[in-house]
Amino acid sequence: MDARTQKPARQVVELEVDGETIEATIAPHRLLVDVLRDACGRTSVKEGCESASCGACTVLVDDVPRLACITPAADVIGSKIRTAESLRSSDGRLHALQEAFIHHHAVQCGFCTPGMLMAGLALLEENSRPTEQEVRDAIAGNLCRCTGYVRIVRAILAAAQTLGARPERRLPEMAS
Amino acid sequence: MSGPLNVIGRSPQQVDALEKVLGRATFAADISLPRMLHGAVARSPLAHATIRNIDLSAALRVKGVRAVVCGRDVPYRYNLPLRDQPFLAIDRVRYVGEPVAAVAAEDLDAAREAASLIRVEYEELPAVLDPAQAMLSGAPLLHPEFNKYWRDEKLFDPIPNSNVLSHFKLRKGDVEAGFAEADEIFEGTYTSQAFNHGAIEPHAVVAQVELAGQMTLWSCQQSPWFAADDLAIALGWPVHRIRVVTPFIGGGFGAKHGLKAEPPAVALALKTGGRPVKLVMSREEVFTALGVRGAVTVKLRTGVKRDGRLVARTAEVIWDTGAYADVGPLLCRNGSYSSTGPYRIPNQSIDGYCVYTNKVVTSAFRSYGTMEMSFAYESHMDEIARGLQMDPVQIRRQNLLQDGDETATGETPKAVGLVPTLTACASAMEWDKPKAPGRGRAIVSTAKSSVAPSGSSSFIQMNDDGTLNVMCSTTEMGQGSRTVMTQLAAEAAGARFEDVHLIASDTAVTPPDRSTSSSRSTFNMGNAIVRAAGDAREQILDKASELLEEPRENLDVRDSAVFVRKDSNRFCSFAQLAGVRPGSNFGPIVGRGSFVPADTTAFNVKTGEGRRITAFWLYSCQGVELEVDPDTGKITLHRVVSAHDTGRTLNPVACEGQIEGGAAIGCSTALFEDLVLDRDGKVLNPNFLDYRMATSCDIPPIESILIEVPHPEGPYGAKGIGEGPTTGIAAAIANAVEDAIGVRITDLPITPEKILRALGKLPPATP
Ligand code: FES
Ligand code: FES
Repeated sequence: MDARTQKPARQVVELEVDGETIEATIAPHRLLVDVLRDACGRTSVKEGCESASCGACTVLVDDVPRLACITPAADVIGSKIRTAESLRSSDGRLHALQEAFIHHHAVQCGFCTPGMLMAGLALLEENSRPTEQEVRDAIAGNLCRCTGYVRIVRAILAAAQTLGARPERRLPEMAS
Repeated sequence: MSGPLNVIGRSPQQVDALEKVLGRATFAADISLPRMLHGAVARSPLAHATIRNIDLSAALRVKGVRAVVCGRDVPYRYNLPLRDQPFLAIDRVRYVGEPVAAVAAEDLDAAREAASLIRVEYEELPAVLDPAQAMLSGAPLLHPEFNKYWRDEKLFDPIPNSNVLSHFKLRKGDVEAGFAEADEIFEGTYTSQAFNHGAIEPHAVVAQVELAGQMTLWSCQQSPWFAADDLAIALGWPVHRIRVVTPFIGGGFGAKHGLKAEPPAVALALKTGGRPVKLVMSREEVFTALGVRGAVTVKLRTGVKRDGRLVARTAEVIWDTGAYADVGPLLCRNGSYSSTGPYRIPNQSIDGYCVYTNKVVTSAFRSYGTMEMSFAYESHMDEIARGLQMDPVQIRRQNLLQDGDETATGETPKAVGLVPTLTACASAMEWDKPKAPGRGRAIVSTAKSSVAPSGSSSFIQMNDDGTLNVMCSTTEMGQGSRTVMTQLAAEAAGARFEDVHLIASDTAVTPPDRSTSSSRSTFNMGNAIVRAAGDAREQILDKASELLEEPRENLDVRDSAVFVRKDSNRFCSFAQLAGVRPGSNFGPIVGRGSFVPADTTAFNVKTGEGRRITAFWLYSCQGVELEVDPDTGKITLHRVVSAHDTGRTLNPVACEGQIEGGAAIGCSTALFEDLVLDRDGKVLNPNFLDYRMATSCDIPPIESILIEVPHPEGPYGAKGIGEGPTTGIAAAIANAVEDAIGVRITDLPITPEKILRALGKLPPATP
């Protein structure tokens, strides 16, 4: 057989995805995006560029946003992986970010949406009172061709307010 | 349809938003079928060459490979209205990235491996990359066999033995006399660059040919019927044997209108013994081989009276269609006649040339020619205003078309909302106040037609619980069609919004519709749905009249129930009328509706005349305020105001979403985007790192203004909105740059480097 077609040894690993333990057989070079989509059923993890330049594949690995398209799956064994499918609580309630994306019409085609939600989540977990510029910076690596980002920024700011639940704090005045 | 409107004019929760925020919306690449194979495509490394030999043997030896195909296995050609494009290159390649062969294998690694082992022997031919060169006699011909291709001769005229596949001519009035009468003549040449559609979802398709002969494609296809039809003609099959199902589409913008990723997938599916094949394109393939907004050069010459009246114009437009026709002939026609802009010009002569070059194929792009054309005519308009020392808004207002005026093609459009749209835009821009120091600002006006004649149809069926299923081939790609069509059906049937379910885009289920393109869906499909709902409503009234023992005239339909008008305690719900179950007293309710805009006419290809070439026009006025740093050439956008005549606003938030997204594309393409090729025709920036698209940090505040001038034939007066917002931004930015720093950039994109050159701070570019 041609050496190039020789399959490298596969390995059975356990991944912790959205609080579930999932056993998957992976080749060492497999990327997290493929493993999440194919072996873990997480098709919400989108692939828009396969080169770390669109943000569609953003997931959280131990609470840090990572681009699944350039992350080897083998690197995240033992880590907590969160996708957009983890956002809804077990009793079926939507996360404040999901509510805000719906309410503010921040979703058009929806292809960037899971990545945007995860970038937004990473921001809000670290900074519960972001300014508009901080929101824009946090999603600057997530491309959206449909919305002009207007309502996505608005929705993340609104979710911050809901989550912060600081009654004295008004929604920051949006320029747009 | 009397009484107040219940659903129209509101912004209910988008019907598909929940699935999308849950991450559950299925896109083509998410689909997985039993026994599915994975495909990969081998592509041409050369811009122009004949194929001497293709050796598939090494590819076939790769473990897991189940099918390998090349052009000779599928000798078919597609594209409407000029069938010039092979599924896989047959004897010649015409651009870098053209599909040459394809592989289906048990997994993607094997498919890619095998595709890389396909050996093609080429004999290189001289390539032509510049359309102006390609037009010259003696230029190497891309399609020496052009005359053998089927084409619709009623639609366009080629120039024989040349690379010009279409020469569009429009002659109106007496141009010489017009120029003779003019006080001043202005001239300019304006160039729009090639750029990518930038949809975040790369093209993907799953194709399956059942052994019984039925083909199914699950594809990110904007226009399922158009694609099925094109494929059926190419294969010589009846259309019903080809079923196109479109899942959610991750952005289209024209890139997914017509056959794109499908032909190689079909070529494979014909050879896999019934096993489905999935083909998902990489970002690099999207950039190099799945369509581009082609480059356009526009030369304008306009005669004006001293008071600002436009009296004559000649336009010469060169459209680079790339290696194949795709939409080229129609783009050349619709774009070229749009060079008049939204203005009254009595004498005109327009020549548009659509030219083959050895480059990726130009496909439809949101606003279909009008963006390129308005960059020219609205840049030109500001130069005229400057030359005549007139206010740019005033000169536009004075020349804008109004009801009763004739367009370039000889049409007299109805319900022309240009003047109120301009007025609203100017007032939001505070045009009558002095501008802020250091700033530049501009306002432009545009008009865009919609494809005609073009038909749509819909069925509406009542379910057992009295809810309604609406069958509709309009595809949802983010523009909000599912929500708006649901609103229209609910309003026209008398149902509650939440009782209407849209069943979208499956040609085996949803009846024919030309396309999801050209801002046509709200108008065309909207009317078809209103008719289907009206038909269902008639049937509902008949049954309710029987059940309630009241004459129909005494009944009202609203909120999914039928009420006796004078006694609202007597009513029956839709559920009581649903004749679905066995033993029901009533038969099933199925409404049907179809719509083709009345009296739309074809063009005269000799004169460019057409009395009604579009069902409606999109009228837009857009303002930009910006600042330019004279040391770095960097442009900072401060605001965009975007005013549009919607006819009637069916869903305000959906319209605003279209405006924000469309204007953002306008900003991004005006300032950053440029698909760059090397001298051998290879794309140098086929990724989002080297090809810059606007991010969340680049887009200024966008203010939307919705003007309603009801269209007599629109559903509840509505027209399309989708393409208007991308039309004018580039021209507005160019004009505002001149307003700010006194230099005019006439070729897009407007980069810091071009600004510094224009300011004399960098040496001129070497050609
Ligand atoms: S797919 Fe990972 S960043 Fe684009
Ligand atoms: S909603 Fe389509 S890419 Fe963001």
